Amino acid sequence: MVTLDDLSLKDVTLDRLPRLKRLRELHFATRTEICVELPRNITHYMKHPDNPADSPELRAGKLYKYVMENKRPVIADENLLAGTTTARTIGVVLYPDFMALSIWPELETISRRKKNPFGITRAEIDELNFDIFPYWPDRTIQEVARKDNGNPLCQRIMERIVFYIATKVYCISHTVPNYAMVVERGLLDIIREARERELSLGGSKEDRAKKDFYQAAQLSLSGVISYAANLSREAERLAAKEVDTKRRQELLEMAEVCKRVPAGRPRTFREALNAIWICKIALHQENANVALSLGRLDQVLYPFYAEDIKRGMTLAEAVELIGCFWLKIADHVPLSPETGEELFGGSGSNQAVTLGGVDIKGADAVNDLTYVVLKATELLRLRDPNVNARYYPQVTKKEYLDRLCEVNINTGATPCFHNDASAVEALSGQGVSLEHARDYSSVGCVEPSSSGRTYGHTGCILMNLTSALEMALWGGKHRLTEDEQIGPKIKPAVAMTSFAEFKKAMETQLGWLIDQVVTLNNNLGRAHQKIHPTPMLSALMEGCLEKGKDVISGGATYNSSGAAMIGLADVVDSVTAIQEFIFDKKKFTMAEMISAINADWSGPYKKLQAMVKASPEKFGTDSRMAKANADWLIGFLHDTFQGKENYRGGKYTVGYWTMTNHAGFGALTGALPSGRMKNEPFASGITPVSGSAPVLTSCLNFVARLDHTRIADGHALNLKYTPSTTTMSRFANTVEAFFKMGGLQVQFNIIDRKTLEDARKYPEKYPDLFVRVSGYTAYFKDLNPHMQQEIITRAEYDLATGEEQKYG
Amino acid sequence: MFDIERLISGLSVDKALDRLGERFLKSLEDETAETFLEALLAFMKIKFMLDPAYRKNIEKFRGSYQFRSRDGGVAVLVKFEDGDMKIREKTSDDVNVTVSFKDGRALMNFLLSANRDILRGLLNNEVLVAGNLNYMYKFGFMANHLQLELTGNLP
Repeated sequence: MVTLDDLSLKDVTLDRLPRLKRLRELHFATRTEICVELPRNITHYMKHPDNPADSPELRAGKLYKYVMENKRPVIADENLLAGTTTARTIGVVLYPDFMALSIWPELETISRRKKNPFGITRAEIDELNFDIFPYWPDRTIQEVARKDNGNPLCQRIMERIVFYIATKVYCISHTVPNYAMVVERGLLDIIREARERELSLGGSKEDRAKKDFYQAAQLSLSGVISYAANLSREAERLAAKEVDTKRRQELLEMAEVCKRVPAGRPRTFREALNAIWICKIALHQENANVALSLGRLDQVLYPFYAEDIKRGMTLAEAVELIGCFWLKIADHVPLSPETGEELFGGSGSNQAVTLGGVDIKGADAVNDLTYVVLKATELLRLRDPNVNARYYPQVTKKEYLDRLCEVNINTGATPCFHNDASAVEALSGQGVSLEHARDYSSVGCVEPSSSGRTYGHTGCILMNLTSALEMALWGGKHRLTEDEQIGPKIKPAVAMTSFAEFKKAMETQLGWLIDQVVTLNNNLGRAHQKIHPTPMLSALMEGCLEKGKDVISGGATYNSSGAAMIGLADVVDSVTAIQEFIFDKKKFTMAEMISAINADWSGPYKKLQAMVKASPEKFGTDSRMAKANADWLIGFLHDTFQGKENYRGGKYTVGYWTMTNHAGFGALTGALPSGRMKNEPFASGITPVSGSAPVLTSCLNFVARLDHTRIADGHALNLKYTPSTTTMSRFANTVEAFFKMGGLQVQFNIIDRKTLEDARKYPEKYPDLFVRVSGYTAYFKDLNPHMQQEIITRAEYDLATGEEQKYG
Repeated sequence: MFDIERLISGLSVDKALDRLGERFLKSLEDETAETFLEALLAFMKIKFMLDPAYRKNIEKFRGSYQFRSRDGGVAVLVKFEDGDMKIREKTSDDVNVTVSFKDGRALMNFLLSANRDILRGLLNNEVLVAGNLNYMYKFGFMANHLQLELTGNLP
């Protein structure tokens, strides 16, 4: 329920919240450092106390109990919430059984590399090199999966980089834990339930497996409670020597908070926030934070907020607490080796928080806390969390949409907008009940997922669609891998006589790629089951306690796997160009097209390129031909992925969001039939290629009319509006119109090219400039040059005319 | 090609280290880096023999590496076992990791962090690694360390 008179909370400013102001300044002034605490503890445990005779679940339960009990309680600044992801102010967590070893070659240079350097001491380098890393070369998920499956083709294909990425080598994040359980029950009650269920079981093989799972859940959660107790003791210790009376009182309150939560049910807004934060820290020890998302915080926390407001908490105090939480969430940075930085760098942890929308009965769920959270977001302008706002045309109020647009204008890049009507329909199409579908949150970038009850690993696959196009053109070969026969050997495109034949070739290569990447994801999933069950996440996921199963083994209520497609608009435009110019109008032959792209459209092919680029038959326009090709491609991908089963018995869903991968994959890809030149970034997400969709309404109409029930893993439509012409009402009207036509999601950068060009040239002038990439937000200075270029050249629309501003 | 005995015969321990270190550095400056692998492996081997701190990298370590040039001109098997490094000019499939490279410059670009051009390496399909990547990461550390030490750039 909304009771606020001023939805913008104009009286709440950073100047009136000096703690947040100082913490924000500290955040941007702090150097990111590698933290060796977690790999040290995991390695020590695995070398010594671990019992390999235990089941994988039990081993994991004991391990994470040890990890949490031995995690250093750090209270380093004046944040009101206790606990840190790492032992550093801003730390990089290393997961030795995932991809930590990838920075081994760079340990002695990583603190001095040009892009996103991480601090590390000599002692830490030596500890990693001599003590920690040597234990792991044969024990990582990637290598266990390789060995168990005989170094399969699907894994070798991934290592060629340009075809796809299967992210389970990094973690199984990309989900929303059930934080409602944490604040409604507390961990002791969950432990009690696990204990009761364990004691009710018999001695069958199945029951013994369940018992191990329940024991693992109890052990790991008891470790979390120990960590909170350690934080409490640390707060008391600091309070005892604190001379400032006010700070001493804060520390004593913090000690009390951590004595209570997350073990018990919180009583206050602050306790509830700290309970969620401590659990989030714990989940980060278990899995790398790649889009481990927060869910519907304004719904989960509202009862605590409302009670505290009744007790006298001010709006400013509520904003301050949310702000403290936001700064905590931003206390760690993902690990990225140099190659990763070069191709895909700049990404945060993509922790989505979801606001607004409807409740499980379909009524407007926007409340006062929604606006408090928006205010904290507006004031702090941080990369994380990635704020996602749900809007249901004609159910949620227009004034709410106006406020979302206002925050987007003021921050330049957040929140992003989801259409409840379409998202609920897309989830229902995947077998999610209506009530559960209405209770969806965004995961990571944009992926809708029923909150706290779905293990959907929505970003487990990132597939480069243009690699299938390449293989369709060259008989199963790819220009990057030269003469190697990668995909099925088929007739080269020059010998094809019809567009139908070319489409069939595309389907052959796409189908083969999908087979490979699904096999790989399933192999990696089984490797997780074997060596990396996740008892803490499982204990905080609806379904797992009922079934007595880990999430990685199918314990969640809903099980699916999400595959994100990279390069949609580039492929649609390429296929459409082949249809239009080669087969329909016969303006040139396939051989000429291939010569042109092999020559990167240079020399005699420049005229050809101009003709192709000038064609109105493009993704994001009124073109029927392009729309038909987009429908065909999206339909084929959906049908093929849905025909596959994941290792948990769930389905694969398809999405169109790209993080920074459209720039990375683009940098590795040659010229395309669409007129795109080699190495240029692909269009992001489900966004048209820059310069090819000149009219905003056509662009919105094109994307809105795509079948969103075949896009159940979400999409990111990335648009840029010229600030000077972006009034709140114009902005809101475009979102409303897009959603009424059926659009699923849209997000905006409200920034002009001139500012971005200046930020590229003088990054020191823009330390906190953040931008929407493709789903999430990032600091512009952290992005690699390809990605910066993509953001700069991304289509920018003038809302006064509704037309694209020409670049250059 | 990998006759270290010949390279250091008649030299004192310090001189041998210096000689091979200089040779390694020189190979980095060479346009084609034709001798890079040979110079790297020779220097690595003598460092393991003479420098206990560096030898710590391969104590209790077992790992085998096949380095192979695409044109078939170079095929070197490197084995680490209990503090010892063995270099043989032969091919074997029974290794932890196989590295195929276009030329010495490509391999150098792949292995050493300093002045690396990652994109060029990928775009030119210069180096292919097959097998357990973690072994390659370890080798990468040992190779980078040598360069950083010789150039006075260790952190």
